[in-house]
Amino acid sequence: MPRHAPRLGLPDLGVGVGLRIPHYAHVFESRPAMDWFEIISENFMVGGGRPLKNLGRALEGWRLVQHGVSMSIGGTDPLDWDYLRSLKALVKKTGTPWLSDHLCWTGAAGTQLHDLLPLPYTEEAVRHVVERCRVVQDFLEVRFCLENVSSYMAYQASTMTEWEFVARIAEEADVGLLLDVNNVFVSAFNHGFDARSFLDAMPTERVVQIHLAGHTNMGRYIIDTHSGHVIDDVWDLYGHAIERLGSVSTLIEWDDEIPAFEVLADEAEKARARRDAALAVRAARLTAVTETATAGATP
Amino acid sequence: MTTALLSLQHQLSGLFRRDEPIADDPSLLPIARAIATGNERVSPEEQLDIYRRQFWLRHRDSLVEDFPGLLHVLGEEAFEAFARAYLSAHPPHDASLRQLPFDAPGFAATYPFPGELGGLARAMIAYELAFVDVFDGPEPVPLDAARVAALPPAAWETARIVLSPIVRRLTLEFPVQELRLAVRRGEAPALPTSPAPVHLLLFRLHDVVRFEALDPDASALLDRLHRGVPLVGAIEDVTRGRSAAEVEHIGASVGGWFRRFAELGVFADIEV
Repeated sequence: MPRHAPRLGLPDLGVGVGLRIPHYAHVFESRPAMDWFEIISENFMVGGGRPLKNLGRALEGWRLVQHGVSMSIGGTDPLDWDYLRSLKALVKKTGTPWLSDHLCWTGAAGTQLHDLLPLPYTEEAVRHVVERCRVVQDFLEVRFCLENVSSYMAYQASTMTEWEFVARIAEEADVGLLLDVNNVFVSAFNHGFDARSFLDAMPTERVVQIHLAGHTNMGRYIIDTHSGHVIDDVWDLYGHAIERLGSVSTLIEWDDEIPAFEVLADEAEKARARRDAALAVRAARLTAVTETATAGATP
Repeated sequence: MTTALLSLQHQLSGLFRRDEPIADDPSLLPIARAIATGNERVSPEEQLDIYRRQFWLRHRDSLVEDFPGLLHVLGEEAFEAFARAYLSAHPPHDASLRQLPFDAPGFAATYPFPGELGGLARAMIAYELAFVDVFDGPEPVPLDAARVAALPPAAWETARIVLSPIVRRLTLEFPVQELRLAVRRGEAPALPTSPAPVHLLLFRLHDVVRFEALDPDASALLDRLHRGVPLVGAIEDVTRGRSAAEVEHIGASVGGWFRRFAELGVFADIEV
């Protein structure tokens, strides 16, 4: 039996998209219907000017959820307390219901690589990340969620699968998960594992949010570019995830060759349709199980 | 701290910042193969090289965004050479990419730019860096006009005028402001062939970064104020040793300069 409420008790916000600069004018002037927007925390951790004005305008109309790229939770350099203090100030400003960043490292020995670099799946890395997650979540005073990253390399040092690694850290650190279904697909292709094995191993009650995005297939490997539409295989994985997890806040990311907002909104509507269909399947399955159990219990 | 994880990350940090493909250096192949598994489609060294290429592309793109004018001045090839040399000498050290360009003026001071482009390139770097700084710097509390009006005349002998943190005064050897503006409009303006010094004020007004050319004496006056010299002393500094006609001209202009500075939000506070 799950030990926690679904989504760790956090709300299902519906379907949203990532708020990006090319769409500001359209969003603020046309005020399109959108359940929620995700913002990149670092874009608003500045002293003032247009970024903060735009943040204020977004907060007037929509629920915002913060997503970060620079925490380096798996890094071996000390936690950056200036960064965390600035992040916490933004959390207070946005009222984000949870805050996510990537299960990765972004630099070492004082040098920033500004990339979402995979960790070796080892006991040492589990202990290291769990400890840092606890410190960060305690300091930020908001539910912290880890996102699985796309990876293009696999470590000789790894002693467990990625899904075991992710699930272990989530449980031991008591954090939520931002399940990026496209990243699962990309890494499954790049490393030759079964994407559904990954999805099925996620602790259901800890998945707070889902990411969907396009990618770039280079032939021998796939790069997570966040460009283009979500492909059919990823939609199928998303449906599988929702059937298993239930209703989870879902977000479309599109960061390269960004199209008109309407294209992104259409993608969000496609996600909503997929989500509704998967939830209907899930409900029917739960009904069937309940009826079977009830029939069995009836004398 | 786990030493295995630490040493692995330090090793990879070096490999990912290399200029050349890992496969080009045979001495690195055993290292790459000890770190990465590779697979039937992608070798261990190719797996690492994906991240090495991304390091370069991400930071190059960031520098292009910060320095569109410099890219125009140097052209693609020389800009890439500059960017690679800069990243090698000043690896990114801040979690935010916003901080990436701030070592560029010091680095450019001795960088061997091609041909006669050094002066123009350095002026453009100084100007574009000020843009980055002013764009999202902290907003000052508006100056209280009533407080200023209430100051007795004698107070100006010692009062220090504090300039806004989102204002920069620049003295540059080339008029790069028009060049950058044309580049931002998508044009391909000709480069100036000889220096033409310019005094500029860069400021943010209504969330838009703008520039205004300054009279050299107005620029000198702002420079004194920025350094904490009280207004009366600053005017004395600027007029010292000047001809009677020049002093008269400055005296007649100060009021207009100050009205304009006030309109542009140059003043943040008066410290009495």
